[in-house]
Amino acid sequence: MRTILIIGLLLLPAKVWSQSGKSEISDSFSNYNIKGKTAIQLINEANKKALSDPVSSNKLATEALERSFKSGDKLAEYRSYQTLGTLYYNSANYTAAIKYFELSSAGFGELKDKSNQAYCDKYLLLSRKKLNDLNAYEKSSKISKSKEYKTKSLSKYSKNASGSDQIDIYSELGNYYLENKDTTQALGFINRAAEATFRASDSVVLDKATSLSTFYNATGNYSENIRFQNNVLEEGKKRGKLNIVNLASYNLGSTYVATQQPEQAIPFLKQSISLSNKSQNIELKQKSVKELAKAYEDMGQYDKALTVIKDYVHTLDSLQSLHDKNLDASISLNHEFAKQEARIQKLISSQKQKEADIKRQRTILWSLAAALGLFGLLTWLLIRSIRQKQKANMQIKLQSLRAQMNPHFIFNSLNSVNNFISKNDERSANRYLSDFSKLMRTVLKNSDQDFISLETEIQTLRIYLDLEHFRFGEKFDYTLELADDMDAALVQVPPMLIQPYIENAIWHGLRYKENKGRLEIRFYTENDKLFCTVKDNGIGREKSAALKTENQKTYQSTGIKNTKERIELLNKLHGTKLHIAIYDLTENGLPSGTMAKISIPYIMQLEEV
Amino acid sequence: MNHEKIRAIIADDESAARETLNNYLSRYCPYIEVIAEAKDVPDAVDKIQKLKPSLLFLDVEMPFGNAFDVLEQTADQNYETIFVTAFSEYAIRALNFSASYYILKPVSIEELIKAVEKARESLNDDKRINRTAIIAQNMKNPQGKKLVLPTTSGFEVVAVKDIIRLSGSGNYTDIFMVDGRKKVVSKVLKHFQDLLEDQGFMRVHKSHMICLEHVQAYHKGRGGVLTMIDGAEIEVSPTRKQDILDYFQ
Repeated sequence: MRTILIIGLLLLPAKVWSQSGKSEISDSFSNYNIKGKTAIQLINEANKKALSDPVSSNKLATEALERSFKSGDKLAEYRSYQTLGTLYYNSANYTAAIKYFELSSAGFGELKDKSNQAYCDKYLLLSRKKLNDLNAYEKSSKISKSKEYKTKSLSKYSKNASGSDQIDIYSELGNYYLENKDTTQALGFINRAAEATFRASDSVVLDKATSLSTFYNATGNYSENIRFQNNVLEEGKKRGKLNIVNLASYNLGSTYVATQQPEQAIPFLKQSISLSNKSQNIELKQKSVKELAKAYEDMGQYDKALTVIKDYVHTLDSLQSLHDKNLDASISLNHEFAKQEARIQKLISSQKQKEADIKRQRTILWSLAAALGLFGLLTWLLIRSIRQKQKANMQIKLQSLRAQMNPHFIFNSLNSVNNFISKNDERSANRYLSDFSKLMRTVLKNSDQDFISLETEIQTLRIYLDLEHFRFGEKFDYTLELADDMDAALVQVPPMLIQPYIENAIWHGLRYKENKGRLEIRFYTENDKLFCTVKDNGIGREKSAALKTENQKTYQSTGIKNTKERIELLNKLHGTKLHIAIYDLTENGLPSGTMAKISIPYIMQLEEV
Repeated sequence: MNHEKIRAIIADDESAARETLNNYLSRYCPYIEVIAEAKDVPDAVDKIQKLKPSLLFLDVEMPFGNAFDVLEQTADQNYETIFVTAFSEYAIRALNFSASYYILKPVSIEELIKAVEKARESLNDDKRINRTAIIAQNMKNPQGKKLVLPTTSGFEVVAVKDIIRLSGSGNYTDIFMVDGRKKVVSKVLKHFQDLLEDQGFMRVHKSHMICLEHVQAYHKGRGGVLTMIDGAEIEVSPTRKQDILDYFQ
């Protein structure tokens, strides 16, 4: 079950990756090798060609969009939309432009790319305006109708805004005040927009020169406009941009005409016409001719006006052909764009599908991971509960094991009291009984403890030995030693661990001996470990076992078995290394008894103090 | 009543225990004459064979063997035994099989008197069963175990394998045998449960114990009913139903 889950988890992401890295198409454009280019590189190239070759630019942007989908590069994706929006805006397809700018604006918003978002929002607004969308202002999040908001958003926004945006904001504010008939405020903002214009790029200057001219004239600030347009003219000369000079000349000319100063207008309009001829700017030339004719008319020089108008009629032909040419170009451009548009829409919808797929797969992946996690958690809980149960069981078992003092010893000892009673030896009976009680009391008291002080343990052993010695006094004498360097009160040992080995030494070793035996018990430390040795000079294990009859084997003391189990359980429960070794002693090659050596790690005792 | 003294031997490896028993016997059972004391198994066997006592006080746990070794090695001798033990469930079961007399350490004077009285009665009985021999036999041949039943008229020895079922009624137990006979024993059913539970018997009801070998059929029910080979239908307590099913499946 678990294995299958893990394999499933390993396979899933692989499937997701393989999908995202699948089709690697190698398209290339006649004049630009797109192979190996990143989406961003393609976008930069598209932006470069936006004005000169909108069709290629569109193709590049579409390609960039596709690559951004493949690589999952969100920034490139939104920048592709931005470029496409710009291209549509330039080709006067404002509906399409709005669609792309909305996509890109939302995208940049997600990426917190403020300057790009501002650009998109600006064009979104402009596009809507172009479509005479009356709600353009309301739709724009930047410019609301509230004055307070405008001022606030201006100060906040203008900090981040680029030069061109600043001009736009000032212009929009000016426009707003103009609509509200607050010409003073409007003029203030238009002036600020005008000032900002000179810090902007050529195209911005061109764009603003016209729109601001309209603003000034609309507010009746003709002199301001003339001053501004003169500055634009100077700026154009300074930058060596004849189209700026041309536009400024036309604006100056038309403004002079509007203010009944035809004499002033004529040189500017003539300059505009001549510059328009040079740059084949038929549109501007047409406008200039119209204004020039009007200027002559105003001056009463109708013949000159006629000449100009004749000239104007002339231009109509070329204008018509240009218009046709532009129309053709526009149609073919729109056709190209439409072709690209179909591809873009396919790309976007397939990307949406892919994203939905990935999302679904991700959901499956997460649910599987969650299921696995849950499974793991449950397994862990189960294991933990099993461990706890095992531990609890071990503790219960330990309790039952250590509570056991050999009942055989208990009842035999009690029977010893009978001996004193049968001899009417009241004092001995009493002393024996109280000694026995003392032993039982300590054993019972210690039975619920895993560790007791060595001092207590030794006292208990002494009483036990005394009682056994009374029963088998003719069989053995004993010594119990404690190394001088030990403080028995501070050392902790498991209770009644050594007693079964003493019992063993008496029962199986010394009891069989013909003459009196010797039992030596020693506690000492060595290499930071506590040792206890129980040494007897009895008949030895081998001989003792050989002497056992079948009937005896059926009934056997469980003391040693219990002790071994206890040691195992203690080691498991406390992580200790209690160890017991039993040695067969020999003298001159003959068995001379048994020694049990019990080692207790010293650290355990400190830990339990 | 025979006024001759009963010749007895005390076998115990603890001198103090021997001394105690000797003192109590001389004081409370004056018709017992302790003719010898033995300190281990070989010593006891040797003295029994040489002195041929009528009564043996035998400590179950001794060096060089135990009480059963003594019985085995002296099976040809005819004497009554009173076992003395401190703590040996195993030994007590063996003794109960043969309805032998035993006293527990620490020795109670009352119990000692009672046991000695019973042993004396048995010694005076002409149809006396040699329990010692039965114990020795049971030890050697666990499959053909013999059970000594104290009946109203004395003692009877039956083979465990011949018992179909036991049914308790108050302080008595009815034992139904393969040959169709019924024996009434003045022991509670629990006494036999302790003895026979690992001999192929099962307590299936608070008043029934059956030999699984002698079951003929089982009819399911709340607890179900067992039909034994003698045709008896024994009710099974619902709590034991599963044990029955486990055994037969």
